[in-house]
Amino acid sequence: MTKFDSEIIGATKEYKDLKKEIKVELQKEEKKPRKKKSKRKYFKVFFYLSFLILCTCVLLFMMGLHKSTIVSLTWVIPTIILSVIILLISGSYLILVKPKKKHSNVISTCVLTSYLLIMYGVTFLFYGSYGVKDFIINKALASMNYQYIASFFYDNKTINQIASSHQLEPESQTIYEDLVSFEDIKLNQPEYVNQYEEAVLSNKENAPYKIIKVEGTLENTDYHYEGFLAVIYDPSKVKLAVSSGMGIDETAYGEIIPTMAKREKAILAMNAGGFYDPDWMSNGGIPHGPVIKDGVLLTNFRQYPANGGIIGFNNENKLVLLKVSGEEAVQMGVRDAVDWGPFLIINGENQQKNSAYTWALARTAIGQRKDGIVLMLVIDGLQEHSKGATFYEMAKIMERYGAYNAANLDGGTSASLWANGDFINIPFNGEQRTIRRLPNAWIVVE
Amino acid sequence: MKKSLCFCLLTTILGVFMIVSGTFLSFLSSYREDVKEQKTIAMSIKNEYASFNDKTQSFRNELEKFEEVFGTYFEDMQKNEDVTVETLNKIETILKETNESTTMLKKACQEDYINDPEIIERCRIFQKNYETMVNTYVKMILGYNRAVEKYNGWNKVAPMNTYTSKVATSYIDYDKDGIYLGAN
Repeated sequence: MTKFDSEIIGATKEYKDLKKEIKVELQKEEKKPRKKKSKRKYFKVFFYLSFLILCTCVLLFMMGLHKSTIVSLTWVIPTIILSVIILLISGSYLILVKPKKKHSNVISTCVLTSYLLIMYGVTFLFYGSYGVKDFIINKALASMNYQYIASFFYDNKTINQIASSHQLEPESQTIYEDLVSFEDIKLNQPEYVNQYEEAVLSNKENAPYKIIKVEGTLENTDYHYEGFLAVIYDPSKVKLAVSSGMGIDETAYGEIIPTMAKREKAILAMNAGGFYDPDWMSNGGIPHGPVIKDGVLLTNFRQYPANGGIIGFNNENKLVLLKVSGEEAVQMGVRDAVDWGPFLIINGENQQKNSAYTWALARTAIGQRKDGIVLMLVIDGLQEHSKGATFYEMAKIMERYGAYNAANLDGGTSASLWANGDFINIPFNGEQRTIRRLPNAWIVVE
Repeated sequence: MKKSLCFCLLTTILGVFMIVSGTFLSFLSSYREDVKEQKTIAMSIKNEYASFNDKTQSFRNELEKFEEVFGTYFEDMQKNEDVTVETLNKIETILKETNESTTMLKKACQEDYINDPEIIERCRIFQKNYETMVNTYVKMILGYNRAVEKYNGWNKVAPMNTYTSKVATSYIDYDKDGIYLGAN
């Protein structure tokens, strides 16, 4: 055996011994209970965490106080309380149990301090009076899609307050005057065919009759005429009044319209048929043609020849214009009638369109519309204010006011319209105002 | 080991810094775009408002003309039928043009996202005036058609035609305040 060999044997033995020792040591280690980890680490973690949470909660608390849309104080306050408690407990433990290594505290202290400063700094900036609040709100409101930033941190009251304090008055005061209204423009609702129709049909007080003033200029002349149109709404109230002395001989006498009207208790009256008046100074007692009253033929002295005939109302209160005898008229149901003419309008046809008769005088006419309304027309004549009317004008006026049938009645001095106790027109004899005795008159009873 | 840790830390810090600054710059850029867009919208609202005011004046002029030609009686209606219908057509055209030229006004005023007090006031006035215009137009058409029906009752031989509106047929409460301006 060489020296080398003995060394190898020695090293091998040493190696084997070492292996045994290691094995024994390992077995001992396994049997040894493990050391518990340091409690300090856990408390450190809690301390740091609660500190961070507390700093964050301070900012959140301010946001919650300002009623930010995202933060609710109901969970912020308990969180603060909890984190303060944990901080105190863990902090106390860390102070009492001294750490082995001190240098690690520097880094964590720096981090925590920085975080604290950031949180408090942000809190004071956002919720203090350093203009940051105003800046954020104004900038947010100046945008279209970032206005939520303002409501994220602040409540609506604060936002409105700051927004309104920075708003300028509008440039131009005229903006407020731009409000339009079109109420001054009256959009009419036509109710009537024309103004004549309106004049006849408008009867707001429901009066039994209405008086319309009529005036114009004679065609192809400068002569002015004036008169009145009585509109009687109920044709059944139109009756014939006769003079108590009406007859066909020299004993006959006429009466003035007021007398006849009073006796019959009339509210309106107009002269009716013509009468025997050879010298224009008769007493008006003898009427021309048939006179029918209440369905009875009273007189029948020679009929008026010129384009006229029976003018009266039948039992259906319709104005009839007939070229028949008095007896025939009674048989046809005529209740009240006189005899005169010419007929002006027959069944809507104007009979005087081509009339060559151009003598303008005071005239009277009676007509009826399709709706039954009776029209009594009188035009003054031979006076300064009114030259008179021709048959043509009379027909035109009646047509204008909607007459479906109309006829001319006695004119000249006889032309009279009486209502409310007085004459409405001015009966005139060529020289002065006068009132003629007449044999009959159309009246309106109540 | 310490070198790689430092390197990691630095990289992380740099990364975070770049992300934060990038986000902030992006936010700033989009905010500026937003403000610019709002100013453009505000300008177009002002222009549309001015044009709308002109239209209301034209509308008034045509309404006055309509009042004149339509007349008070059936005989006037008959005589002026052509001119009346022409006036109605013009009024309808004005309303149609108003609808087309106030799209931005309508959109901005309804969505209410501009805080300029002048714009807000213009929106308020526009809403009221637009409502007044439309309701006055509808009232006018309804009134005209009622009158035509009455006229046709009087003149069965040559009746008039009622007017059919293509723009508005019923009253509106555009500003949703429960009052129908112009409808009475």
